[in-house]
Amino acid sequence: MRLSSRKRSENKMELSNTGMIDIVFLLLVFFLVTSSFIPPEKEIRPAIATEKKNSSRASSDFEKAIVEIVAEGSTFLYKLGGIKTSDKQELLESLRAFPNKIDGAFVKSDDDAPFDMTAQAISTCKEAGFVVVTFVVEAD
Amino acid sequence: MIDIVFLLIIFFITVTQITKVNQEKLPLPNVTFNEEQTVTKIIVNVRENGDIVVDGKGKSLAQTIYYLGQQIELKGNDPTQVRVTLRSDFRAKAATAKSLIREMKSLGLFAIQIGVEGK
Repeated sequence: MRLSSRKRSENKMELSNTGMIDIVFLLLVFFLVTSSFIPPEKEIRPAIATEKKNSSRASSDFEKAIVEIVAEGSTFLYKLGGIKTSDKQELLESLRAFPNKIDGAFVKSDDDAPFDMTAQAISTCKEAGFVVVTFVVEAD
Repeated sequence: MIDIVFLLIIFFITVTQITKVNQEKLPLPNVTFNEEQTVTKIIVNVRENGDIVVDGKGKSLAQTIYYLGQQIELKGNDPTQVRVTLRSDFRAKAATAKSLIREMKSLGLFAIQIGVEGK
């Protein structure tokens, strides 16, 4: 039996460059169109705690930084001791001036307040230098 | 030219982030003080209307807590092994997040991560 090497070489397939370039360009256009640059997501890490609804405050509680988000008419305000404000910068300055940073800060929020205010309050407490910030929710 | 085109394709393939199915598209609170996000397996999303979405499926509060309980069981009943990221729409009422946190605390989860946006 004789094998023809000539016939084999005649049957060799050749890659079509034009077709490949078309596909490559299509892929490029696809990635260009579908790519969107999203900034990476960040996080804040508060500790969590519960308290009884009608718990009476211990005297030492007054020395701790407790940021409450309270309703004032149709809007909500940040409340720190006797200070009520909607301005995050004012809250930050008040928290920075707070002498007791060892006991940490506590954030309490009204049920109807937007979640944004809770996150802002936690972030502001951290920015003011409180290492431990606790998000306090009412126990059942 | 084909080299450059191939390079561009490789660049786009590399930088393209595959959308995480367990992350809802939500506008998160934009805060100035934040930390780099650590990857967690469990992501609880809260929509503007208070609906809870976990793994792309809408769940009630009870279903979410049951799911979290299962995850704790899978980790040998050790809640410290379970990390949860709470992603809430910045416009959503705090009530849903508070209910979730209350129940998470009862399951023994003491630390949570809140997803935010920011520099």
